Amino acid sequence: MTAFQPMITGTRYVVSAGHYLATEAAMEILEAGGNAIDAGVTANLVLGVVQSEMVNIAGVAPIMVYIAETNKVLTLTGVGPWPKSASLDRFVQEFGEVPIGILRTVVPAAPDANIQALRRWGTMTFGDVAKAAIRYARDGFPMHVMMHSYIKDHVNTYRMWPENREIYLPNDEPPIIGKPFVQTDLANSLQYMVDQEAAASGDREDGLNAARDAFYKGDLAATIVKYHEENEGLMTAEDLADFSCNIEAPKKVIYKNGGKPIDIYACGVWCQGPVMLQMIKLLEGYDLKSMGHNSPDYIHTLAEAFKLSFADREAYYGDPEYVDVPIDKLLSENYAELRRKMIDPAHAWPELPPAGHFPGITPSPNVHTIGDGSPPAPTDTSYVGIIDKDGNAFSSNPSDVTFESPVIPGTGFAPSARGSQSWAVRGHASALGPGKRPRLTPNPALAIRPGKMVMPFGTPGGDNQTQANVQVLFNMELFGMNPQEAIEAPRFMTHSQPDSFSPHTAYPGKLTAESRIEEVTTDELSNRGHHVDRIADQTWKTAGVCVVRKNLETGVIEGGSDPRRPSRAMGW
Amino acid sequence: MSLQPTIKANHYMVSAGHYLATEAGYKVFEAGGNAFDAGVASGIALGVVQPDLVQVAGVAPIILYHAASDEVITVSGLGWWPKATRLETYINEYGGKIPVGLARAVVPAAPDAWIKVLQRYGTMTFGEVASHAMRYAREGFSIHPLLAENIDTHQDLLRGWPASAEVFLPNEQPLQTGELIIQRDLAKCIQYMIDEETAASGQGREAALEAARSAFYKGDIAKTITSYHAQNGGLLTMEDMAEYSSAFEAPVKRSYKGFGDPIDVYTCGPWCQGPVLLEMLSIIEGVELKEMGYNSGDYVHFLTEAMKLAFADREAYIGDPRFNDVPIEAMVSAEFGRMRSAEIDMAKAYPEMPAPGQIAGAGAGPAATSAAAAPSRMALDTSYTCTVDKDGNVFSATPSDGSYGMPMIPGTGMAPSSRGSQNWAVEGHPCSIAPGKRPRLTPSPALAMREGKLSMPFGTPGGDVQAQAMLQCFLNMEIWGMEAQDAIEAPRFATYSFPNSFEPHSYEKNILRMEGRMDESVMEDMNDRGHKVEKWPDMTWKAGSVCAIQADHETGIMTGGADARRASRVMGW
Repeated sequence: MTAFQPMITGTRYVVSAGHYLATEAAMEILEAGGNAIDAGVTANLVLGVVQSEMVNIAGVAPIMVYIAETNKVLTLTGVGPWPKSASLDRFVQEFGEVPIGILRTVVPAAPDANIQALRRWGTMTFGDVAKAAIRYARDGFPMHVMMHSYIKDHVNTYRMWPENREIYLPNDEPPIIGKPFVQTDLANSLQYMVDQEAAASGDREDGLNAARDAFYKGDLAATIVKYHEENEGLMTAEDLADFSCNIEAPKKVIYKNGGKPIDIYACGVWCQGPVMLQMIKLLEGYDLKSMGHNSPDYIHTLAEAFKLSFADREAYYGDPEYVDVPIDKLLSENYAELRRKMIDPAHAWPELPPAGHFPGITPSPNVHTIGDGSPPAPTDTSYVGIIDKDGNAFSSNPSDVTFESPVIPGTGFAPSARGSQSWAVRGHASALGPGKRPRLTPNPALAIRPGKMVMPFGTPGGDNQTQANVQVLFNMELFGMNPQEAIEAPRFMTHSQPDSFSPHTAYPGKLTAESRIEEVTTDELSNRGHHVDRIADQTWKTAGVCVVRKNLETGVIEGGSDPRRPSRAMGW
Repeated sequence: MSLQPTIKANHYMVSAGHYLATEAGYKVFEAGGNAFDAGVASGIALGVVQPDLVQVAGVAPIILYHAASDEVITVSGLGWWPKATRLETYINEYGGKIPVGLARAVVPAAPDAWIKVLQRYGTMTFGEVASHAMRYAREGFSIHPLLAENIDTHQDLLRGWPASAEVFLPNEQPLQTGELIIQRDLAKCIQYMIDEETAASGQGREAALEAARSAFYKGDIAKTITSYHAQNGGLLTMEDMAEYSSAFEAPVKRSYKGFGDPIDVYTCGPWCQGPVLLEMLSIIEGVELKEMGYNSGDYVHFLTEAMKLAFADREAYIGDPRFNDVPIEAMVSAEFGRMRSAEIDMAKAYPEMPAPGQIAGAGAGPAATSAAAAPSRMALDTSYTCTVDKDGNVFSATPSDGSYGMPMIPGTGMAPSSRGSQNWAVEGHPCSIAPGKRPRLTPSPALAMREGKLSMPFGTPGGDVQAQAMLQCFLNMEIWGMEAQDAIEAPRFATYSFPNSFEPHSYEKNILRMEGRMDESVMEDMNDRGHKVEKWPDMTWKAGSVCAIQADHETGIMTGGADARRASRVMGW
């Protein structure tokens, strides 16, 4: 197929990020000698400015890195816990859900995740990597179509809080596309962290700690806590001061269907990352290539595998520090074999299939609400993938919206509204609880074929993320597409699962398909029982994948970015 | 929704034929440069990152708007034939052909044009703007698919020239997509110009820029080029090089009232094909295109016929205005346009190129439609760059000259201007070869301005497809209200029913090529009206690669577009 964008290649470094200004900022750091982690954190911060409707400086930031020197893949658990005073009983009794507003705030994890990444694997100061973000916040950037649309779609929630309204609805209207969009308070918050770093005595690490403490223990923390005290929020100084992300080994499956085995890595079950691994493992048993790309058999098989995997996510996934998740079994060959038997090539599951059984573990109760019509666009996220000249890779999904909770006056940010991905349901694996983390949708990924290929990849898109990642991965591994073609190829999404976002609406049997997928194909899928919605082509409703793929034998690095969103790849 | 995100800006913007050239221009903007600094930076970079299609020692026609003086100026960045050139040689010895190689060399114009713009309108040194190009040459860059394809296609030719082979076939094999291409000699030449400038920096910026220029035209680079010519039967001398100078000229301009609020469209003079676009617009002006429907049968037919009429007049009248009395005022006039418009038969295509329009006192050249119909060889192509800055300055340039019509000269990394391919070895043709005469250049940057409201630089590579692609994009924006990115991505068509500007000037009677995204029914309709439709893929680089910026003066918002048909990209802040 013809790609709509030129595929970017480089022989030194390539970055692909969810917004072109983040890509530009990361490139500048790479050109200045920074490594993938310096550049990645730079892009994460810029995304928190130029996509601040869906990425928050004080939001979440799950990070995965590949460190070439030690040949290790590591993850940083960039999602924060519920405040210690959060009570499931209260949410169940008072709300029956996790309501929009201050009460869905969890501890902001991104500042810690970003600074930890810099401290452990980076080479630069926070001031170096925050420079571009501060500039775009202070001096503005041209309002872009997608951000405008999201603000427009969420005008009513932006109007709920004076600060959100003032920033995002100048003249009480969504900002005009193309006009400079300025976030002065946000610039000041970042600058304060930079200033605290500069004022710290000692080495780079001391400076980075000072920048971190400026957020978690200094004026920013005090401002957040004071606002929570005055507005019935739950966040305390202790919640913030106690927080720290963990370094963890990733989850992994080896996928062999493409011919040569490839290791696929995801973050742990504190996010939905392992769902992608389940999907891949399950699909390993099929000769997908023979079915033909985006043929009825292909789409049916993938859609059913997605539904089966989501059933397990719904039943078992939750913060592993609080919940016993049978993740090794879920990712095992034996289990995949068992689950494959549940795919009927002629008939779609009319709704989410039952989850697997694991002795001693009680699945979540089935509690979703049922939605009508076509599912809305997910409240969303962004992504950064980078490979640097030494072969290090960075993969991260910074996230959190500004239309579901108050922007704290004077800070320019709305601390992590990610509580939206917990359940106010007793017995649910992802029920909220003090100190417990939500079941995060953002899940950066990485694929490595040892000695041959390293490939960070990921996407925004809520529950579409893993579905899009799998399709793009197969487009490359099974159908020989280059990253740009693989990303641009038309996609489909299943929506039978309860949405990860509150109110967790499910659309049983629903399958959306971009309109470049042939009508005879979607007709056949309807015959098999899918409720097919043919949706617009190239829509951000089907995610926005970024891929950076390095061929370790030729040294050539390819970058792909998704024209469905303002993403862009660049390299040299 | 467009296939690429639309880029907008409030401070500055650059859209160029290759993303690394865009990056070079953007970096110059970020460092405080104005539209001219950034434009020149991207233009020179195109000669490095698209060395198949653009030469640092090639042509560089430029059109610019200087806000402070409120003037539109063109720079005739196109060299002329060496003094020793004789038409008879081409007719008698080369059988009426202009052979590939040194025999088609004209004086390289681009270094002069770039530096003159810097001197008069820029703020930076040559070193500051050329360092990006130099770096891409010295450190290399990763090859994009079109460059890889062109190297592969022309490998036999390139293999015959050792210095060319060294760059493009370093291991005797064509370089592949993604691989690093290094141009050491080219880097050395650019660095030599920078060094000469630095050495003269004590004499002030302008004199230092002159030193960079002299390094090329009088110094070691000129010596290397001319001694290679002397040793290999070429005609270019030190005198030819030293005497070269591009001119600052008034543009050709037409004010149109038939496209919404009055809009002025500017092109370079009839030393290039720029005015053809103006004639096409004149023919269309006043015709209710909207009633025909977008890319409908009537629309495609009418535009195709308008383009053929304008190309007939190009063929008859356009040639180096220092050698020809080109009736340029008459050609772009409203009256002439109306007259030509009336010649269009909506039911039936001209079976070949129409006869030229009669212009009192102007003699048409010989009907070169006698040129043998030959299958189209793909044009030796071009690139494009445009910039706009916060002060309202605008830069639009179409640097060009391929490296498969001319050997790279050992030690320079350059294949100096093979543009003689756009002359005719035909007695009496307006573009016949003559000493000191310039070819009829296809590269033709454009600029449209609506006073107080809009500045819009636009242009494209594509040889004879240029004016056609630019016309369609212009109408997409001005008639159909598309933003630049959508206007550029929309499917295009192009007629080939006239003698190609490139030697051997093949002529494909009645051929109309249409991108596959256009309606099948419209293609059938075109065939019914007598066109011979050939279907292109959905998006092909053969349909040109337009870049454009719409700078809205009322909102201060710049909207950019870049064509995914090639490696172009737009960037701004």
